[in-house]
Amino acid sequence: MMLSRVVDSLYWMSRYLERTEHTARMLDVHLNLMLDIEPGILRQQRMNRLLEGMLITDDVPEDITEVDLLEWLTFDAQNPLSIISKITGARENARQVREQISSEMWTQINKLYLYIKNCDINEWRESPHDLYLEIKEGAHLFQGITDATMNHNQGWHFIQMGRYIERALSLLRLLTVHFNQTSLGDDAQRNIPTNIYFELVATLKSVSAFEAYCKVYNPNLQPVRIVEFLLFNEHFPRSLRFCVDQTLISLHSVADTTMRSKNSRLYRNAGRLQSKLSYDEIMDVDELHDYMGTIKDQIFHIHGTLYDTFITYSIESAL
Amino acid sequence: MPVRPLSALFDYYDIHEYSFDETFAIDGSPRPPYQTLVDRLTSLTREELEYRQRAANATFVNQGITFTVYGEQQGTERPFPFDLLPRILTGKEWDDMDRGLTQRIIALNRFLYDIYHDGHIFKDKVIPYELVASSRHYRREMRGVDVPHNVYVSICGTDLVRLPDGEFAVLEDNLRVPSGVSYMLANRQVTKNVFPRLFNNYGVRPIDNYAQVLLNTLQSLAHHTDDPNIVLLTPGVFNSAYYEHAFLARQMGIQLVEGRDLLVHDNIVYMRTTAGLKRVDVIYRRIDDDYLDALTFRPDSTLGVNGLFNAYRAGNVVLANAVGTGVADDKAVYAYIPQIIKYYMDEDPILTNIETYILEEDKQRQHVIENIDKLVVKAVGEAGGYGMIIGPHSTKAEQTEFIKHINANPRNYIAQPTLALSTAPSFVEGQIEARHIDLRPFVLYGREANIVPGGLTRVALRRGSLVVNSSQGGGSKDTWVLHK
Repeated sequence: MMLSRVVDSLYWMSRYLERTEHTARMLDVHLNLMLDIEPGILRQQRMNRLLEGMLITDDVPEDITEVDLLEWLTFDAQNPLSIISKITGARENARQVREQISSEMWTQINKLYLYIKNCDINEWRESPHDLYLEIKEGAHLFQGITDATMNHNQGWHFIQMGRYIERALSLLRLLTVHFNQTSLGDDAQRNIPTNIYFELVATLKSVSAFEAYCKVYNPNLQPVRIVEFLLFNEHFPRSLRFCVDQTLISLHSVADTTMRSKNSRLYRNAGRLQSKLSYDEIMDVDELHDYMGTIKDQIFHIHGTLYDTFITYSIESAL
Repeated sequence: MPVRPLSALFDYYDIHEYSFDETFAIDGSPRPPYQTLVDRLTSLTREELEYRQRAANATFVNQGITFTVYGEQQGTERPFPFDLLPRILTGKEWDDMDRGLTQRIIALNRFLYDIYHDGHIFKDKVIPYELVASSRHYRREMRGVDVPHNVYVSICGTDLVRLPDGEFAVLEDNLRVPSGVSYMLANRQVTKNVFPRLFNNYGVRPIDNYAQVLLNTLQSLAHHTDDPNIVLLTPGVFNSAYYEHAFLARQMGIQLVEGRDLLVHDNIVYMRTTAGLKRVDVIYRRIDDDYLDALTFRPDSTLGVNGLFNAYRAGNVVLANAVGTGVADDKAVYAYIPQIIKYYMDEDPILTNIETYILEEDKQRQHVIENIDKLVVKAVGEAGGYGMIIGPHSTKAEQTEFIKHINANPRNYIAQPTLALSTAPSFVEGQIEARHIDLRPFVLYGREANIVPGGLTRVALRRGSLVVNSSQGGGSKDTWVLHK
């Protein structure tokens, strides 16, 4: 038996941590990419893409320099989208349920928080990469520790759902910023300009997908294949399909332990999305943004019904 | 008079005639139950003791056994200071104490039943009605409310001190939400690891079944079902005793809930789980009366559950402890406990009560004000060593200030003679020195009284200090009750 409040905290702990990791990777990739871009309009475009990918459009302080912007995205506790705010969110949720998670998990998340909190900003300016690497590794370590030390019960499954739902939403955001139906082109497209090639590499690396993509296709990057890979690949752990498959597994496990009917809207909607992603092909996509928009709505809907079913259900419905 | 037959570790160990020393008689010879311990200590070097102390401290820090101090900035979680050397009670000493505590818990429960029902004790003029009704913890709402088996206090922590003549006396009863039992259990675990052979040779009565006994006690209070759903209600992670709440819930295998996990519908209490609402039958609550239910008590409380008191009054949920028990540990009511025991039990009290001045009575107040430099004056509704003045350890200005408070609200204060708490050896800064101690056994009462043989021995770690509270620089040590 598990309290709704407890799984609520576990779910959000996990979502915040996934967000932290995603942001750290985006910033890291961005820094790498900037090394190869000459000053001027292209740099500005790249900055804007980064911000759009992080859903930041109008909150950015005006006339901010590149490095100050990175600092704002990393260390500013007043900025809810900064890495430090996200880690704090994860830690606060973990703290609420400290006796439910393993002590190793608590220690790791606390370490990560203290690491960024005590980070010397002047040192960071000298070599910003180290920090993002440290954060990514710390988040991976936390996931490993979670799998190795916590009972794989309901609580663990809510952690999984938090991670994969967040991951799916981040991926959709990224793809929306980087691709549209016209930019997809087709396989026949050859000789991609260098600056676009770098962007494509960056997109893949933003979800750790460059190596995995190259194993399935080849280093000759094609936008249409990248989108296909990130939406429909069955085995890559950050593809949309993979995220939805994992969410379903956890959802079914939770249904079994709480003796819920799998005939409810929550399960039907989730199952419908899963089959869509299992059977659709990239040719079936007429308008990429519309297609992804529908999927995003479906995921929001799963999140909402998840809460309605297990956490914020009305008293009348439960009596 | 120093004790000097032993090792250099004892060079600074002082014993005095004005306070009882647990370990040494006044001539400096070890008391019989302590002989083996003293022999063992003299065979150890300072380095060996320090090594054991470090090992013990590391256990506490690693397990996160901490408490929170109010009114400080962040970083307020501190490990509870642990003193390596155990305190020993003989089987005889314990058995007498056990009988005394049992007599007391039964009498206190009968008293609570009586004052919230017919009030025979007022009609028989044993204690004035005004004194009881004016207590800050008296709950008018409890008048005429029946509780299962008429048990009001199921969990009690009674503070005992040993007087210079070697007798134990009750300093106060904690009848609301007493804490500290997790330290009692943790101290035992650590001491077993640090002195395994010594522990084994001594023949110490076990206490590890406390959580089981507590669970049985709570189960015995559920009257409407055979398989009650029992929960522990905590104010949350910011509470000073949160560690203990989580620890006990885990030991008993029950849910640790906060107010927001519970709701009341049609006078039934439910908790919100992922599998739907589940009825709650017994609540071991670690929240004060004031915060339990914003509809009945403090309207600004967000820690409790709206409607809880009505569900309780309807008999649909059991609270342990009951609402309104604090009136019986009011320090002014305390003065009447010997008469209360006599009245309900028709027996003489087994445990001594400390002489207590009621300051509402003019003559007593006059005496106290004239002799405030020799007495201890305490606020009646406070705990944790707050709101008190120890005459001999205070300045003239503090005394004048306190007299003002007394005159402004005499009902709020009582006075007692300054007690010389007994002393026992503590390992402090590389030396074994005498420190003042008290004892808090934990009494459980459902259909019968159950007291695990032991308790929390608190130590005033500052030299000469008489205040053992953890919020005021106190520590604790393991308490061994011997089979014989």
